[in-house]
Amino acid sequence: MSQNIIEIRDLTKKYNVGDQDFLALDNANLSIKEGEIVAILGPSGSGKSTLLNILGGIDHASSGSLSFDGTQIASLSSAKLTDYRRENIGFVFQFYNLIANLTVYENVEVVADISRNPLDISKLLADLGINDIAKKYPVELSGGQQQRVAIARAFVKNPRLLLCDEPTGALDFKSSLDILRLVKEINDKYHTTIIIITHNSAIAGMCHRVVRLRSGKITHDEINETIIPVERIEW
Amino acid sequence: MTLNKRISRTFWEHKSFYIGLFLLILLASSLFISFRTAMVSIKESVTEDRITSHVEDASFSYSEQLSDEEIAKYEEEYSLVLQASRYADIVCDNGATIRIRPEYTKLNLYSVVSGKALSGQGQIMLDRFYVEQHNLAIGDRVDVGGHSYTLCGILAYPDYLSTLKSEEDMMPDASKFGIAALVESDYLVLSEAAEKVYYSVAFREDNEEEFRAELGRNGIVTTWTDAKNNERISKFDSEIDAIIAMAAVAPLVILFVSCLIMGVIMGRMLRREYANIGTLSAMGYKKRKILPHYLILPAGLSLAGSAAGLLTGSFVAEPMEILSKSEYGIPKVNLDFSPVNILITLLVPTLFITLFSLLSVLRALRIETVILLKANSGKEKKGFLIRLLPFRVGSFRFRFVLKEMLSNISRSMLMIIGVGVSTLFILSGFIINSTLDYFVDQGFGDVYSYEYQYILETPNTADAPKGTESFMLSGFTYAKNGEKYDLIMCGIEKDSHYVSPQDLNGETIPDGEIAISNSVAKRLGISAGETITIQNDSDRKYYDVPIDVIADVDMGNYIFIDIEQLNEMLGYPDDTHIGYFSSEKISLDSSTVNSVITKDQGVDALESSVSVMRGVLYILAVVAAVIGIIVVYSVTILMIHESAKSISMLQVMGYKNKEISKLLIRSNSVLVWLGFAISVPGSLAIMNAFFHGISKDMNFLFDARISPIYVLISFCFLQLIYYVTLYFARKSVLNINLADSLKERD
Repeated sequence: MSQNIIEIRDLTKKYNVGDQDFLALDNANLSIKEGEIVAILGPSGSGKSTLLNILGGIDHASSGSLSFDGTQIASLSSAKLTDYRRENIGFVFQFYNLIANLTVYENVEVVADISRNPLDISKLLADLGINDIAKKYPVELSGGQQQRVAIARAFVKNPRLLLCDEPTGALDFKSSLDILRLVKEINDKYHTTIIIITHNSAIAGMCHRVVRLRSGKITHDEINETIIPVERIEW
Repeated sequence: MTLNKRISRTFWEHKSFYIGLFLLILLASSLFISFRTAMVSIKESVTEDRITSHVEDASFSYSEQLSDEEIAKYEEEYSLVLQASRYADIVCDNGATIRIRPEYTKLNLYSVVSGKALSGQGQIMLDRFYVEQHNLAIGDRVDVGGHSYTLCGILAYPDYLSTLKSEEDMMPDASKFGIAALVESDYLVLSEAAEKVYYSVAFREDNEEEFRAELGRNGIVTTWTDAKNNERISKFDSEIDAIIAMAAVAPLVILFVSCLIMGVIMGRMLRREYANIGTLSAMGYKKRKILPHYLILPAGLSLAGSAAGLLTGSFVAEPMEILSKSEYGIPKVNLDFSPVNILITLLVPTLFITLFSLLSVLRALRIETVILLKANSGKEKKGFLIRLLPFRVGSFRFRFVLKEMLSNISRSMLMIIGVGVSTLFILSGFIINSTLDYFVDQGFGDVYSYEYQYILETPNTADAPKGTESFMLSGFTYAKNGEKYDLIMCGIEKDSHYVSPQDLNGETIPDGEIAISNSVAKRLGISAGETITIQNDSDRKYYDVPIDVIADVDMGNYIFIDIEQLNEMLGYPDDTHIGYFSSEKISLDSSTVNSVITKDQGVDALESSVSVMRGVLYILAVVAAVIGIIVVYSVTILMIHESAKSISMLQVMGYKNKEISKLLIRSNSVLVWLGFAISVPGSLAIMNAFFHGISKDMNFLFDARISPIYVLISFCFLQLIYYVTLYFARKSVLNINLADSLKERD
């Protein structure tokens, strides 16, 4: 049985909006096992992105604890958080966030360049089916191609945790399935823990666990007993 | 309109940039208006004063004393104004000589600079320099020739702008010489035993030659000095014209270039608003609502900067005017703010900044709203250069740096040009210093090695004192395109130890060859091998003089010739000379010596002749340097902010701040170095053209040069500005919330 890689206890994130406090996360508790694909579902403003950002070390919690493989993340300094991201985290964003003046290859290389044991870029691009566009620039690619590049970039360091923020939010159905298939393949092949944030409950079908958030609280956390193949996902 | 509430918020959000813009416009406008107004006003005041004070066209000494009737006869016959200019030199108890004049009635009338004009006996008026040097004030008692007078005012004579005791003097010395006016009765008492007379003339017709011929028939004209050859009158003209030329070009160029760069920066700043423009457009805002919203801040700010510049410039103009006339006894100057200059001051910055902002917003409005709302519409398209880069050559970081530079050519060009212009502005002061230092040093050190130059009252053939070298001087006029130019033929001994001009290749000029100084050769377009025809000022005869070589002498209007050759040409005995060069002080009968010039005095005189220019240029250079700092600061801020999204992404991916800084610093540093490297020779070329432009009517030749140490200092200074700016700009970008930055779409 896999160990818990992430332990979240009473995690709270408070924002000041004008004179009022707004709780983006309200005493969230969650454990995620290594190698799991977890879908985090919830309406806008439910706290999904906040949770993802804190998990990814690009935002700080107001209180509570978050441990990654036994290390407390919530209390780390900015410099330590940078190390944490560099060594463990891969990000995939809804709008790709590729660097416009770098080619596909270089967008992946930009992460490989600072990684301890990066994967072979050419092989990775070939695995992801984007080797033929390696010399192209983001502006020359379709949304689906850009998201594949974003996945390659996130995965080139072989991270232990892959955080996907609405990875199919800007894609058509076919491209979305391609991306989800890739995510699944990575999980199968590398046993990478993957957290997918999405509005789309259909995506939850391919995940090991499904967590639902509402108004900053975790309202639902259960193991998906009936995982379906990506090809059967429909919406 | 609610939307316009954003304007002040935008200002405060980017306050360092907008305050920099405001200051830049203020400085550039202020420099322009103050400089132009001061210089042109001085020139206009002098020109006007020359008319109202009836400045002479020429003066001469004559063997015969002309009676009032003879003067009237000449005036009628030749339609001219002729005045017996009476004066007396009185040596005061303090050792200084005061040249007293009665109140002239026809020519060279004095004007009142401050205080009051003479109104009766017991009053005296003195020149400004003498009054300042001897700590006098209006109302003080001044003792002259055993009589005491009340100083009622400070005067300026149109024929004594440079208060030189003798026309041969190289520079004024107020501790030893001053000029004064007394009423006729007081003058007669004082001048009784010491009065001298020369004649001043103003022509109404072009009949100088006929008049001089008539004078020659009736007597001997011992000296004749045209106003344009009279250092007391004309030294000012050449210098003020050079300064006006500077005032016409330099501040205007600074104003245009700095506004142009800031306009481009402003236009680029607005590109970051494209998504908002798209949103406004989607919400139904029309162009005529969107445009003013985005133009209010740049237009308002530049107009406010110009207005503030106009205001400060009007205050600065007076000190600028005082500085500029510091060397001359100039009549009271009325600052004349020309409407054209005021309009330029107000409109140029506003037009430039607003135009570039307008173009940027119009560009956005031409893009379809849906595209504006999507992404990349405000970004530059990938340039072709980036496509030329070989795929996967060199390290990733090397390619990253290269791509940062090449992917946005316009931005890189802006950085290079911005740094280049800043470098020009910063270097200009150093170039001025190096050039003038070299000019003063080379003007004497390399050519003249005497310590003393004795000029005798009259040419003679006596043996030269031991250890000295004789020389001969003779004035000539060279006519070209209807203009007359003065030349001085300088006869020097063979193998002279004291005057050793070299040719342009640095070789010694062989004995027997006739050389012309490079300064005048360039000005008059005379080249080696050419024979020029010149008219001698004494015998009025024309001579054909073959110019063998151009001498590497950057000052003066000299033709160097063997002394015997010159005497032969003029029909004088071989050993005729007008003075001696010596390395030591020699003993001569003081009655035979007109003036003694030491080498130090020569250097001081040369320094003095460029001192106003140096002062004015320094002001220009300091303001330009400050503008340069603002430009580098603004461009750097823009670079960093335009890279903000990439910086955030690198942070998210796990790049450390130091690594990001290195990547950014590398790419931008290369541009800074490139801008600097291009600008050094560029600045020299521009300053060279500038110097040649301002000295084209002077017998000076300034070749722009800069000492390597100044280049190093400028480079370090520029780097310092860049890194300090980078430090603060980077800090603000690195501190932005990563989660928030990721919400922004690329």
